[in-house]
Amino acid sequence: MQDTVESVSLEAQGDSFVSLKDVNKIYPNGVQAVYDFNIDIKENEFIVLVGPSGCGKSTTLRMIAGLEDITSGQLWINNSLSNYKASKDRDISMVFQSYALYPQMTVYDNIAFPLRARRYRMPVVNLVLKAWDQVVEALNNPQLLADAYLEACDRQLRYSTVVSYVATKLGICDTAAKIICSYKIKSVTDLDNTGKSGKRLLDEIKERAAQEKQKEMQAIAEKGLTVDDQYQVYANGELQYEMKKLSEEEIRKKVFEAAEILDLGPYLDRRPKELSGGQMQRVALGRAIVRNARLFLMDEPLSNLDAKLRVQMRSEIVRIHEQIGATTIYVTHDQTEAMTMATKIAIMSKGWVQQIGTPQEIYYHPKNIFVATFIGSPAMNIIEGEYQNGTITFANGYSVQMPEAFAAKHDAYYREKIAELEAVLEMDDFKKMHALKLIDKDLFALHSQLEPALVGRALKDVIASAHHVNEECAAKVEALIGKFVENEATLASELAEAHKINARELIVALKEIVSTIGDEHGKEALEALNALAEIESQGMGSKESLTTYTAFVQAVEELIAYASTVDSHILQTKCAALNVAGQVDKTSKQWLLTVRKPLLTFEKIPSSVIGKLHNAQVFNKNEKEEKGTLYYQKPKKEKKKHAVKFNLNSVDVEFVNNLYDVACDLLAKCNAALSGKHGVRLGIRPEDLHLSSEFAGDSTQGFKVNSNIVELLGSELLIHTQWAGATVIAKISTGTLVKPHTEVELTMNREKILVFDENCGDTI
Amino acid sequence: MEKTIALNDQQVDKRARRIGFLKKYGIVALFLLPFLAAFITFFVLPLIYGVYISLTNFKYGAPGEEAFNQAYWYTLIFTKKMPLLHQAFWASFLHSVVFSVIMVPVAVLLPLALAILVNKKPPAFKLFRSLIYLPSIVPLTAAGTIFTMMFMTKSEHGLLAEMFGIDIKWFIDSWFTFTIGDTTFDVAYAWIPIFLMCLWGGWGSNFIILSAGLENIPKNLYEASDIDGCSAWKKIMHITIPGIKGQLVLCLFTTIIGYLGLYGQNYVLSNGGPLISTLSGLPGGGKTSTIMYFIQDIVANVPNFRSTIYGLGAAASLVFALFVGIISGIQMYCTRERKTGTKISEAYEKWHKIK
Amino acid sequence: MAQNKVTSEQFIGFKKREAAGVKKRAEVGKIVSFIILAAFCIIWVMPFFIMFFGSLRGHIDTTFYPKELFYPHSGYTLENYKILLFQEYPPDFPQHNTTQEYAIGHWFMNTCFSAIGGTLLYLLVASLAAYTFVFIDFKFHNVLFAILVASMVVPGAATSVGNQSLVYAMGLNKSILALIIPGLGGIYGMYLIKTFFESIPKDLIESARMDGYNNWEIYLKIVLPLGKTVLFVQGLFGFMGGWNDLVWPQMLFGTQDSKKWTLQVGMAYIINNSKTANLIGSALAGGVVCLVPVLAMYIVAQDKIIDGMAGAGIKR
Repeated sequence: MQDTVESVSLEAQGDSFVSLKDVNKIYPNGVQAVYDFNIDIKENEFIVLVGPSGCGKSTTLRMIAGLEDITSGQLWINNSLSNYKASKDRDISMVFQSYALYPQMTVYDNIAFPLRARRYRMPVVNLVLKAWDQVVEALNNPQLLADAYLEACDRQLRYSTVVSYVATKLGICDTAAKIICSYKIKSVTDLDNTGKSGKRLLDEIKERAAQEKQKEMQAIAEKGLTVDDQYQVYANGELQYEMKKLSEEEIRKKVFEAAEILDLGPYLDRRPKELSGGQMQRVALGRAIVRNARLFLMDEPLSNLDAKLRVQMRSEIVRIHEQIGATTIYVTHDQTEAMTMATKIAIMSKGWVQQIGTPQEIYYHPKNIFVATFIGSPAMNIIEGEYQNGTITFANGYSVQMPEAFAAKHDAYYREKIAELEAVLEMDDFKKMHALKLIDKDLFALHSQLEPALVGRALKDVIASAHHVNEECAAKVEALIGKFVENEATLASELAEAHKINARELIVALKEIVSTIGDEHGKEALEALNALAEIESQGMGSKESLTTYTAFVQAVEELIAYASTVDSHILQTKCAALNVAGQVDKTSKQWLLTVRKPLLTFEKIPSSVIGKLHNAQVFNKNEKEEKGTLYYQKPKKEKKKHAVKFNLNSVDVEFVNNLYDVACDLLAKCNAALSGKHGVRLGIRPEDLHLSSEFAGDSTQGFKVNSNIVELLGSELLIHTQWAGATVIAKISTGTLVKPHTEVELTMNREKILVFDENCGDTI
Repeated sequence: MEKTIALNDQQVDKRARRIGFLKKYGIVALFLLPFLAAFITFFVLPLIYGVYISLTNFKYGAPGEEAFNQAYWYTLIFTKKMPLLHQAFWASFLHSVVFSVIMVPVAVLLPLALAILVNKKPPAFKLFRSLIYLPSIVPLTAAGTIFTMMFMTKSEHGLLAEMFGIDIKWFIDSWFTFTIGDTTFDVAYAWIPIFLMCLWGGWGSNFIILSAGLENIPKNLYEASDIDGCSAWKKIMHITIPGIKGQLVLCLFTTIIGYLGLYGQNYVLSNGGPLISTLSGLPGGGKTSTIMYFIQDIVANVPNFRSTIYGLGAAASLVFALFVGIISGIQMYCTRERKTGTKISEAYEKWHKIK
Repeated sequence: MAQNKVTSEQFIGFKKREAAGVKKRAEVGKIVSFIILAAFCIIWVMPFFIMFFGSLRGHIDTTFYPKELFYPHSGYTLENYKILLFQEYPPDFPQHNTTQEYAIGHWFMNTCFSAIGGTLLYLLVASLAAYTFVFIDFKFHNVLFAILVASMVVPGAATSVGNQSLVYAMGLNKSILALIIPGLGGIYGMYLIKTFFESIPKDLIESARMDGYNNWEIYLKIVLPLGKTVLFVQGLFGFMGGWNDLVWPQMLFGTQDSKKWTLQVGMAYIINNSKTANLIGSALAGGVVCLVPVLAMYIVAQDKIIDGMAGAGIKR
């Protein structure tokens, strides 16, 4: 079974070397770290994943490395589907942030470790012939040979290292070195001594070499093999291969080559703790490059280094990449690193890819406000303003006339957006959300929550607490709700009536929506609604006839508004109690069970839609940074357990309202934007602000600002200033020095102005 | 005028300095003195005094009347001047050494295995960790009561005898004997309860130290080795074992030294017995007596020995201390910082030149 | 032959099932280790139950119904505790002879005094010394400390005999103070405290000095509050060491009146006299009495004990 599946060739992935398709990662605790990651990486590219901490970039890398499972989606490496390949079979090497060096091994052993761990397919070499030939050759230079042996022995090394020393020194293979060492030739004259057989040692060795070679040749010939001058073995004219581990001398060669590239030669004997950060970093790199893997993964490799070393290592890594040419995926949170090293950048935020492109693309054509402000140092200036007919006006009255083509671009952008959102709202799942929203609004709103029996007490409570505040307050509250206390009975009966009327109205509205839902959950909900409708439709008037009730609702709303102006905690809580007093009654429970439940199934929302709505939430102008309130972040388990006790699926209510609200809200705002004045955010990079006296290009009207802080960076001046309600930084290359707290006139380069939608942060 | 003022200033300065100096060393003396006094009185002095006692015919209870006796006690230990005493000492010594050699692998490997299991973080692993360490806090007399109850004879209704019908007089009978050369070794059954008691409560700290060591191994070393393509065996050999090497060595030596000083367990359970018939009436004359038992017999347990051969106790304790000191020395040698060699970098240079 | 074409989704699904197997194996590893550990722990905790239930069993049950351990034939009884604590023997108790009185009240008090008093005194002395070594710069402090550390190689056996006779010569051999004073010169605890004090930022002490605090105030108000974790851990070790010590109290008071003994010495005496079915119950009761304080301490502070021990092991 396994074999048949593995042998099947899956569709090739074009010319991309690594490719991720719709990759998602959800951790077992329910937190989703990566959403819908798509990227194609060509061979020899240097990709940098960049984003603030916690944006999922490291998780993505670890998924590529095989250290984390991929929850869904496909990962292709070198045209083979690698989702479930073991890390070691992916032909990758990885550099960790904390280097992950084996503390007990020397630098040499650390670099050699990956080579020692696995077997390689190599041509069969006849070592016996090779060794004896090399021995004979080495004997031609007896002085060198004796020196090598003497030096190796002098340092009192272990035998195996004596051999490798001799082997390195004479440039011969280990087997040959072993033979030489066995004769213990300490000086040239030793060769003239008599050996065991009574002959001169030199002759004895040569003789033995001839004999051994003869024997081996015979053995080979008997097996029907042939050997060429590289000592490679052929059978019937075909080169023979075998799976074997690298020999020590091959490993030595590779490690030395890596050490040469990384300039690690003098440190090969040291252990990691005797190295500085930069050196450890280089060893970690060495361990990665020594294996000649085709894919390099680097997880914030420079973040533990100090600033100067980081700059140095940055260029080192780029140099190594150029030298070796392996495809590299590099993770960092430092945008400077990304801009200087990458051939392609992927910017991530909160698990979403915001933009993928070359550094130039990302710098000059950011897709949205996040990318625009994240890339570039100092960051892009964002100024809020209002757009109307090709003109953006700021809070201080200054206006920018946009280029002519912009108006058309603007309209096209919003039309497209509206079409998109309408399609989204037509989806089954969004209709369900709409229905749920209606239910929840009515179920939990004031008039249907308040239990008629409890009304009187709640009202009295409010009045009593108002008396505690002061007399003025008491009088006001009495005036508002005093009359309801008097005819409590009428109010209670009208409240009960209102319950029913509300329910009927709700059912009618719901039926309209639910009947258009296509899937079986919709039908289930509709059935439940029909059953309910029969119960509710018995003999009722209209809501307008309930005069006391209508007045009451209005009075309570006024009361709450008033209470919020009074500085009394007790009064406020009592008023709020009016809002939530009483429990969900029996009918409401039925609602929850039969109607809500089938509607609470959202399975088909594509993550691309969530992505769009995500941005609308996160990059909204009014968005406050509150942790865990993003609709798509599923709550942690323990939270859910807690909530279920109070209210069925109350967490989901939040989830649903939010997603639907965001879509509706966005749609409304887009429509408004097309018809007239609306808010936008204008972005301009510091270097595109100029002194108006010096800039000759397509500039806007000059504006005067007061320079608060002035920094001098090389030949460039950074002027920080407050203007139009925002902090503006201008980078000016000039000979004239601007002093702090002086007035300068600036102007914008009109061609470089970017405009962002204020709701979803996209570039228009 | 000015000069005088300057001089005065200087004098004031000097005086302030002197006061400051006195104050500082006053504080040092005040803070350090209690500790140093205790250290000197109860460590340095006893050490010297012990050496002195071991070289004289000191009598406990009558200090000041002793005279040097040409290392008489040492000759008793190292020569066969009094063959039975000589035999009693070396038999006790041998018991200590053999027991600790047997105990060490158990008291290191068992906690290591358990630490590896606990480190897999199965459910309730914290509870297991606490429970495994629990026996180690038990006072050995309390533990002794349990093992005494288990190993009492059939006639006294010992637990093992009653439950499993093992009818052995644990604290009297001889287990087996064997002969090497012309010496016969008699191994008592009593070693089994002693061994079990040590097995039960004698390695808790090793367990804690080893599991802390395991936890301290960086996880990304394992990840890196995954990418390098290591087998599980290689991971253990190249990451796990080297990662806890320091802890292993520490546990190994503390265990050796700890069990060389075995005293409480055999005192509580077997009272050093059963007696070796030829050595009865001598210190450490039992089949389960250890070197510490030998010393304690002289200096604490038997008033008669104390007043006659007290110096022998001192000499024996010093010989034992020297032995333990040597083992500590070996431990220090094992854990010393290794110097960095230069051979590979030289080979590299050579290679670089050849190229 | 028709090639068996498989889509990537099918392939992933297949591999997923395979990977689920691997994961299951990892889970199985956890479960196996759970089972082994659980079995091991049950065996290892057994002796505690043997001790506890054995102590609640009367001497008649122990003699005639020895197999009924956890549920004694004639029910649980406090008879053993009465023998131990009040020397109240049941009327049918057979003849026995003990040369020394079971003065368990005295033993308990002596042990408490030596364990608690000794530990507190040691903490004070050792933390003062550690403070001096870390925060006061005086001549030769490195040399002095090196000498102290080097002396850790000398095992206790080398000094115990000399200590015994020295204590006698000083006339302390009749005083209970002899239990605690010799321990004050211990290096190991001081070393532990000093290593911890070294991690307290020196700036803190220097700024306090600038503000006009003297050394005693700095020690009391800054160093002690910051170092309370290590003091607590060392205190726990010291207490348990003092509570469980047998050799030294025995050397001091082993041959003297039993009222001077500690719990350990007394218990050792009881055990050696109780290897009979009649008396073993009271010995077990003594074991329980002996164990309860340390057990309570362990249950309350087990995390600190384990962490402290682990920390000491890692650091060395």
